[in-house]
Amino acid sequence: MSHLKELEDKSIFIIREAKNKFKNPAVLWSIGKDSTMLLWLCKKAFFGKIPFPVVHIDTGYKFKEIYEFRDNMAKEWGLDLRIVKNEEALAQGMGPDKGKFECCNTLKTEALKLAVKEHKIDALLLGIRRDEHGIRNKERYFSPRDKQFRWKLARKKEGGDSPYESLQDTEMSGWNLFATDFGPEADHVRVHPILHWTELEVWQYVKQENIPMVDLYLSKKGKRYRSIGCECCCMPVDSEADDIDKVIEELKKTTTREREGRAQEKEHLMQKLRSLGYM
Amino acid sequence: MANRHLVWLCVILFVSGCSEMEEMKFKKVLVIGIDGMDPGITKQLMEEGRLPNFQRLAENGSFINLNTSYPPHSPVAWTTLATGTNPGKHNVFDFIRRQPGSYLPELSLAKSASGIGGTNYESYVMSDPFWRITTKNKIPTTVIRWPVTFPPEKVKGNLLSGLGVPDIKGFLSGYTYYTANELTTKDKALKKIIKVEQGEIIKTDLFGPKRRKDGEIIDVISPMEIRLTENSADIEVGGKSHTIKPGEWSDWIRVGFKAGFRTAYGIFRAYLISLEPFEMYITTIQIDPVNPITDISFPDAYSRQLVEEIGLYYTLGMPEETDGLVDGKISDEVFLQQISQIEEERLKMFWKEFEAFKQREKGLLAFVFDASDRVQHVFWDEKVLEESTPGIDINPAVEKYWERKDEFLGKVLDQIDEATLLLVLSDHGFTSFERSVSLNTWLVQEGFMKAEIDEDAIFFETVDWSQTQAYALGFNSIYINQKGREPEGIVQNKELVIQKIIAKLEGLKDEKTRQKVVNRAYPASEVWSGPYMKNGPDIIVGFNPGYRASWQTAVGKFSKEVIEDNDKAWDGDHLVDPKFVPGVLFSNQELKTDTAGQTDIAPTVLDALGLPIPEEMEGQSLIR
Ligand SMILES: [Zn+2]
Repeated sequence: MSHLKELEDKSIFIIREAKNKFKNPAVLWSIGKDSTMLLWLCKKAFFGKIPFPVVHIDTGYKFKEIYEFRDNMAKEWGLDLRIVKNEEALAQGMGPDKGKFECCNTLKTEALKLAVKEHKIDALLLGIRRDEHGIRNKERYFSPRDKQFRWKLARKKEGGDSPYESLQDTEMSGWNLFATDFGPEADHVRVHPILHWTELEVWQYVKQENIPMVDLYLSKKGKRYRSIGCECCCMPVDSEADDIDKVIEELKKTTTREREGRAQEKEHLMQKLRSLGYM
Repeated sequence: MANRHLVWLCVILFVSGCSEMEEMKFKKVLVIGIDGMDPGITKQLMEEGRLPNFQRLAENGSFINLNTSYPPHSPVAWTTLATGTNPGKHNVFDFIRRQPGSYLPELSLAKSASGIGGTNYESYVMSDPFWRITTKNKIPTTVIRWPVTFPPEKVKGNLLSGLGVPDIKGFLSGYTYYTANELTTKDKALKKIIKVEQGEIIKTDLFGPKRRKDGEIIDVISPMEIRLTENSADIEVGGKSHTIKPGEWSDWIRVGFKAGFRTAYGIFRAYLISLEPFEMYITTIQIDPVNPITDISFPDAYSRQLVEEIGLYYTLGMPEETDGLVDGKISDEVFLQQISQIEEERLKMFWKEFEAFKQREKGLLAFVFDASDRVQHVFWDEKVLEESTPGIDINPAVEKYWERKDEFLGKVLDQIDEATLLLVLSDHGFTSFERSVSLNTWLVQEGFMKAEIDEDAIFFETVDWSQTQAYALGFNSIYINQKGREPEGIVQNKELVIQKIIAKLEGLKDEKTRQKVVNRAYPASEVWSGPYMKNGPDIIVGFNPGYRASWQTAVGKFSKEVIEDNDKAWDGDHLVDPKFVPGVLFSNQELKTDTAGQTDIAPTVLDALGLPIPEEMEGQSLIR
């Protein structure tokens, strides 16, 4: 079985598992490459038609290309699209000038809370990947959240090296070993069917399956976007990659560089330890 | 019934009366710490009449062994001395600890909040040192160079941080050696040897803080120009020139490194070895106490005030150049010159603070000397595995160090009054380091770990965790690959594996010497207790004298052989079973016991000052 096929199989299994175990699943679509690929996988999982709502959070600051792409695809794929907006916050003038974190938090998270409540969503499928940095390294395929949207995977604790302790055991990477019952504390469960994909694999799959993509990802005048969320929070990177093949080539080079960077990181740690002198 | 009540009443009256008496007796406490002062050597030199002042102190007061911590590492021991608690409570277990949620090692001295060479540090110490309690009680308190006091904490007085203070790079040491000679393969492995071109003007760089640029870690550099004349070299840094002759040390040289918007200031001293071929050693570039990139004292201005009074000084936690000596880049003589420089600076610091202490009505002064430890690490002449003759062969360098300390003690004894409790103590003793034991290689050999033995692999790269029950990290520590705690943990019945490993370790024989390698291996639960046990190892390995864990063990590496000869100049050590390396305790008071442990020190200090002993502290006051 080819590598991409394996990745695809696993994602489809998780998507079907989510549909089986929950009453009201929904998939979040940011129009970016990861969530668009996720929609494609959902379509494949249910033979061409996604059997649950597709939620798009409109922060009101998106590129116009995104709106066009969204509306075209919704028609073409027959999506049950639900658009959510934090009208109140937008009316009060919330925007990037109020601070990047505030902006993202109010516009995205608050709007999502509204959506979860309004549509009684009990499982929300998201297109996040483990190779993105930060806390997501600790994410699981099925991850419960409470009403405040706090991650219930970890609980704050007193003392020790780490301020958190884990509530959820590591998921087994084999089939059928995902915990899906999280008790009354969980308000809804986040499901991450493409957690195991890398950025490069996403593009290889996009090419193989010929998945439509918004063209902000391709280079124009020497710049392209590696990710798109809010217009305000994304910076284009220098790139000459004006088609998907070139994007794939470019990413292959960067991953080598990132790997070398990690090796250097280790070397640095070793030097630091040896500076103790007892070596 | 009534009788028993009466007895208790008497006891209470007696105890409280006693504490009032003590309060009357002592107004001040002076703690002088001397790292690695060994009872064996001390007794031998005292018998030979070479330490008359220590002798005087022992005769008029007391001299007993002070049992050291499990394991007997300086950071663990000094933290136990300061807090009166065991590692399970204070959270320092070894020189090296594992990063939570990973198998990666990190230094235990202070936690760096940002990745590379950061300026934000946090302390790992979780229980209260005695100076925090005297400070709360508004007693004038000064603490100088006590190990594991970086980052500096607030005291009612001055605190200058000791072991743990990083260099300008965020490392614990790192000399640079400039040479016009061709680099050998060994030099290239050392990484701090810089090849320069011989000529009238040598243009080279000084290496400063690390920073990330385009995903790469790079050194921030600052230029250095050296002009050679017939019999001297002019070192030009930052527009200032410093002239030195071969065989001479420069004075302190200041260098600025521009890192982003900030300039990081460092200081170093150079030693010119030869003009042709050009060879020059420079010390680790230390944090400039006048303009420190991160605070090294409390109040933050104290490090600068000290410079105004005593001149620039070594600020690094462990500034003694044992590395350069072990690498063969500086001679014994140059190393000892540096020890003298450091000692001289420390003495100036001591007398400055002692003058202030003398004037005070009430107060605490705690001061630690630690060059003693480093001198003994590299000049320990005893060979316990080879010779069986009693008595220690004492190297003249070590002997001289103690004679100087004795002179110093004499001056202190002449000046302290009846109202001062004096404690002179050490954190551990010393023994030889002849055979080096690779615990990870041993774990593989015994089937507790599955790994390919590759000497180049670092940080357990070749380990198959799904078939590994235990791993060694640090100098006396074995961790169980516990399910739910380690990232790829498999062991569910931890106790069973601990018992198996201990039984095997205690049976380990060295084929070369036909001796037992390990005296005892201790389950952590036998020697520690407290809320932070989970951060520490599960087994503490108590080596027999002459043996020590290999440095490869400390960082998750392997050696081909389990036991190898230690042929390095670093031939003294103390990372063995604590029973073999107790420290010393001298006092100007008659102590009511002939054995004491490190946890007794903090309660004694507080009791002498009339303060209640916190429940958390495990030991007892030695002056009751
Ligand atoms: Zn020590």
